[in-house]
Amino acid sequence: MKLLNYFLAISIGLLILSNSAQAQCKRFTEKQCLPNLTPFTNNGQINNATLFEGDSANLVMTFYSLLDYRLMVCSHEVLGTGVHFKVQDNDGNILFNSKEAQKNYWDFRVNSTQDLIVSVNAPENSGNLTDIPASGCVSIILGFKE
Amino acid sequence: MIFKTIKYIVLITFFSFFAIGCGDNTPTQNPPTDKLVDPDLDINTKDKARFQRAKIVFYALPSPIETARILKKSGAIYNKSLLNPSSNATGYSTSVRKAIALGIFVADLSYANSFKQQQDCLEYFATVQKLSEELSLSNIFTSEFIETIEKNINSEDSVLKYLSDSYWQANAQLKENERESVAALVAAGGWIEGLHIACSLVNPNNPSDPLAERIAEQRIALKQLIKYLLSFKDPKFLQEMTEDLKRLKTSFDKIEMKIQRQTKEIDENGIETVGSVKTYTYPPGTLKEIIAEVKVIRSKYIK
Repeated sequence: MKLLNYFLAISIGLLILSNSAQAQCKRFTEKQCLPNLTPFTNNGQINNATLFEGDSANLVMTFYSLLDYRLMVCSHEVLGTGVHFKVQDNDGNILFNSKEAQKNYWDFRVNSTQDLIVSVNAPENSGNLTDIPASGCVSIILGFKE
Repeated sequence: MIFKTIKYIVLITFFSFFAIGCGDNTPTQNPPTDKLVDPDLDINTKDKARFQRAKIVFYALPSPIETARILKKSGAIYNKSLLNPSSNATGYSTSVRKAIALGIFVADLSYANSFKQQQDCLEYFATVQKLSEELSLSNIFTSEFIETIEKNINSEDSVLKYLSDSYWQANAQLKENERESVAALVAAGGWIEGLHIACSLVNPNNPSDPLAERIAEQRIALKQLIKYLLSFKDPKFLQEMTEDLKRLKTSFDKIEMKIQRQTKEIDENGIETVGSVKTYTYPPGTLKEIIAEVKVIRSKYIK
C-alpha cells in the first residue's frame, strides 16, 4: 500500500510538473513570440518544447507555394542569446541560417510546395555557472500571408 | 492515509520544481538513444543530463487555415453545399469522431472566411464552439468570443485573426493537457476536408487544372501526417484514421513527380524564393481514384 502511495505521488507530481512546463511555454509563446509575426497570420499550429542548453530539435515542415511565410524561432532568455536555427532542403542545402542573418525570423516563399527541415540548436550557455543545465521554452512558429 | 499521500505529492512537486525547473512532455520526442557512457568518466551533472537526452523531433501538422487560402488562390469557388452541414454537429458520439469533426468544421469555417461568407462564418463558429465544449476545450470559443466576432464580422482580416488565434489556443490547450492525439485527429479532419473541397471542385478530366496540382502536392503533407499519427505510443485511438490515410497514400504514391533544382532568388522587397520546382503527372485514372477515395473517407467521418 505504501509503495502504491509513493507511485501515485510520483505520477501526480510528474504530471503537474510537465503540465506546468507546457503551460509556461504556452504563455511565453503567446506573449513573446506570436505578436512578432505581424503582418503575417499565425497558421494555428503549435510547435514548442522545453529544451536544455546543449539540446537540438528538428522539425519537418510543409510549405505551400502561393503563400509568403515568416518562420520564427523564439527562445526563453534563460537559454541565453545563442539559440539559433537553420533551414535545409531535402538535399541538405542550407537555405537560411539565423546565426549568419542575425535575426530570429525568415521571410520567404517556396517555388513549389515542399518539406523543409528546421533545426534548432540551444548551445551551452556560458553565463550559466551552476552544474544544472538551464532549460527553457523554445517555440517554432509559422505565419503566412497571401 | 490520504494526508500522507498529499504530503508526498506536495513534497515531490515542490522538489521537482526546484531541482530541474522545467520538464519536457513532448510525446513526439524520440526515445532516448542507447549511447554508452563510461561510468568511470568524470563528467559533471550538466554533461550527464546532456548524455541522457536525444535530439528532439517535432512533427508539423497541416493547417486548415492555410489550405483554405491556397484553394482560393488556385481558382476555387465558394459552394456551401460542399461543407459538412452544421446540423451534423450533434451526431458525433465518441471523442475520436468529435475531434475529427472539429477539424472538418474548422476547415469549413476557414473556407467560408476565405470567400468572405460572413453569415456562414458565424454559423460555423457556433458549431466549432459546441464541439470544443464537448471536447473539454474550455475558455476558447466562449460566448464572449462569439459576440466579439459578431461585432467584427465584416472585417475578413479580423475574423481570420480570431480564427487563427483560437485554433492556436485549442492546439496549445490540447498539448498542455497531454491530449496531442486529439490535436492530431483535429488536424487530420481539417486536412481531409480541405482535400474534399479541392476534389469536389477540380475537373477530374483535366489533370492540368491548378486544383489538380494542389491535390497532388498534398502527398507531401499526407506523408508527414501519417508519420505523426504513427509516432504515438498508443495508436488505438488513431488507428482508424491512420489506416484510412495509409490507403489514400497508396493512391497518392502513383502520382509521378519531377524535381528541378533552382537557385535562390530575392525580389525587390527582400523576400527570398527558395526550393526546387516540382511538377506532377497523374497516370490515367489516378486523379479519379483519389477523388473517389477521399469521398469514401470523408463520408464516413461526417456521418
